[in-house]
Amino acid sequence: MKLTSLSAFKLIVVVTALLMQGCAFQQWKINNIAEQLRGGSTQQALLAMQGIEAPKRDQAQYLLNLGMLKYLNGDLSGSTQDLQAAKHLMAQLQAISVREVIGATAVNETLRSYIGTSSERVMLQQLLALNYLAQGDLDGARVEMLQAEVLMREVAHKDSLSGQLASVYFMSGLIYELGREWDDALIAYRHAGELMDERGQALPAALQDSLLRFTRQLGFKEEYQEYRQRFGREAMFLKPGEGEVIALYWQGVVSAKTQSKISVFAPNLGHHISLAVPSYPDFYATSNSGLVSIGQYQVNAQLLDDVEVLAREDLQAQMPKITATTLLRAVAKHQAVKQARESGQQNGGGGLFAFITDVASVLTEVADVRSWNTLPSNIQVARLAVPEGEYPINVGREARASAEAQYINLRAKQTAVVLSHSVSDELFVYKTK
Amino acid sequence: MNKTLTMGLVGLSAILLTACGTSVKRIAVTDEVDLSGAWNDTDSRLVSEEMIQDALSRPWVSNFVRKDGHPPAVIVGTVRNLSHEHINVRTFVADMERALVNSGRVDFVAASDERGEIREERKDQDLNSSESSRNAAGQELGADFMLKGQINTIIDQEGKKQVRYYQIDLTMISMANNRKVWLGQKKIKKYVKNGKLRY
Repeated sequence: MKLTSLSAFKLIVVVTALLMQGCAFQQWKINNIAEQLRGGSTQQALLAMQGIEAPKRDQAQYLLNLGMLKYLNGDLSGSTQDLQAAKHLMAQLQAISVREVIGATAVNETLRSYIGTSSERVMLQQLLALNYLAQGDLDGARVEMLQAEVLMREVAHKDSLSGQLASVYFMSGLIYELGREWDDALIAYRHAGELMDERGQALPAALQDSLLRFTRQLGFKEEYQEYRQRFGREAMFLKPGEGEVIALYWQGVVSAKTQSKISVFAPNLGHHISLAVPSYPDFYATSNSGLVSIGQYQVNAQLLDDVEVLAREDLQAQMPKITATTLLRAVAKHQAVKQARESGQQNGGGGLFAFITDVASVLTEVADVRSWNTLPSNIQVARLAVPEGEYPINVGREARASAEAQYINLRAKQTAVVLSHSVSDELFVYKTK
Repeated sequence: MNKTLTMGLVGLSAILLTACGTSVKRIAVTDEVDLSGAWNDTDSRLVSEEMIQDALSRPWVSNFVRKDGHPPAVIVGTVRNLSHEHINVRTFVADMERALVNSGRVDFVAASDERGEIREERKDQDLNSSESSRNAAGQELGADFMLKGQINTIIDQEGKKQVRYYQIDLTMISMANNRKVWLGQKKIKKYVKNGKLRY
């Protein structure tokens, strides 16, 4: 068999494509770490993540996961640094790379740099805001929420709610409320309510309270009456000697994407046709209402955002593009096998080169299942007024009873925001002065 | 022929790889370099210069000196960043402090977060320093005015195009009667166009 320079070059291309394939396996490794997190071992998950050397194109995904794991382990400044780096990188990567488009069309989607979905980009702002709040930096959290609002406008699409998060609007409202910017707080709470209505979700009591309280306080009489009728109750204000706790509870770990692949031998073409697209499992654990206990006072947190739904909405919004690229890739791979066969016949290489190209086309057909898979499964919220005093505090996690009890000292008229995650022992508290 | 081609390719690769390396060039601090369109050193400098010029040209300083017979003592209160960016407001506030103190027309007293450290040192002096070099407590200069302010932004975005509008408001408030004696304002507007393609 004579191997001409052209054939050698093509062989190198095929081998390179196969070698690059190795990097695609990295995504499964990260998915496994998210599974570890689901088991509640935040430290082990962080160590495992730190042990990974992510390829440059997966750097944003790596930083997002690392930032989340550091947050769950209480390393707030480290988390902020990684998440800011991810944000900066993802903003830069929004521009289209011709090289990556060619790679995705010829080999597979994992050759694109990871830029995150619309909801992930918005969730990133939210996690950063939580980070700043946990560090006592209200203005820092406010910056992130302002950026999130701009971003949500940027990614808004008339046919889809992808990238629109009620939890982010609620968080914005809360931050304005903590900064005593009542008008802006009401606007943000309204957005949260409207978005939940559009999704057909029931408004959590905490959001109902916010809408009732601020429409009443700001003198929007008609709007207040509408809310009063709809929610069947009056606005609740703090009584003398009372403080308020607002709990934001992140529960579980979002499902990882899986691959749906078909690979069939097409007799009329004489080679395999492979198609691989990402998908989410049909079933996932539904949210359990997290119990918020402030001493003897208790309330159930209620669903604000189902991140599982958001992730599926994002994928659905991306599917037309993914499907088009997958079909283009199938055509490109068919052409490659066809040319390899013709080249082999001309150069006496027989069917070997065509066979290798065919195998390569099947092996390199891998779906892009990368995602920010350390995100929570859902986000819940609760408001609870309690008399001033010191209380043991527990949010959502029964297992926390075994951990060292945390206490909160609340003055009259003071508001405390408690941030908690079901997989972490860390509990962060921000209190107004 | 093949050898020449190989050498040429190696040479070209070397040039391309060199282009990817980090390069550092020193530039003047007054050079305007806008990379991302976000708030940068040039904005900070422009704001401080304009504010200083404005603050010193207004009658509040001379009015105070005429009435009280000494330069006004100013304290920096909160300058809140209410913008869409994480802005270090300390840089232009420090620039303003320096220029106002150096003008000899205004005294600045330490802000509340700085005073704690100084008071600790004074306590330490009380215990450990010689009597001749010791500084007594209760001799601090009280501020006559407090400088407060905020940075606000409005962002208008469409696709890859963005207009960023910054408004910086500073207020000098009399500690004696809450009267606002000086209002400084600086506006900056930027048109930012992000690239659609990358390598």
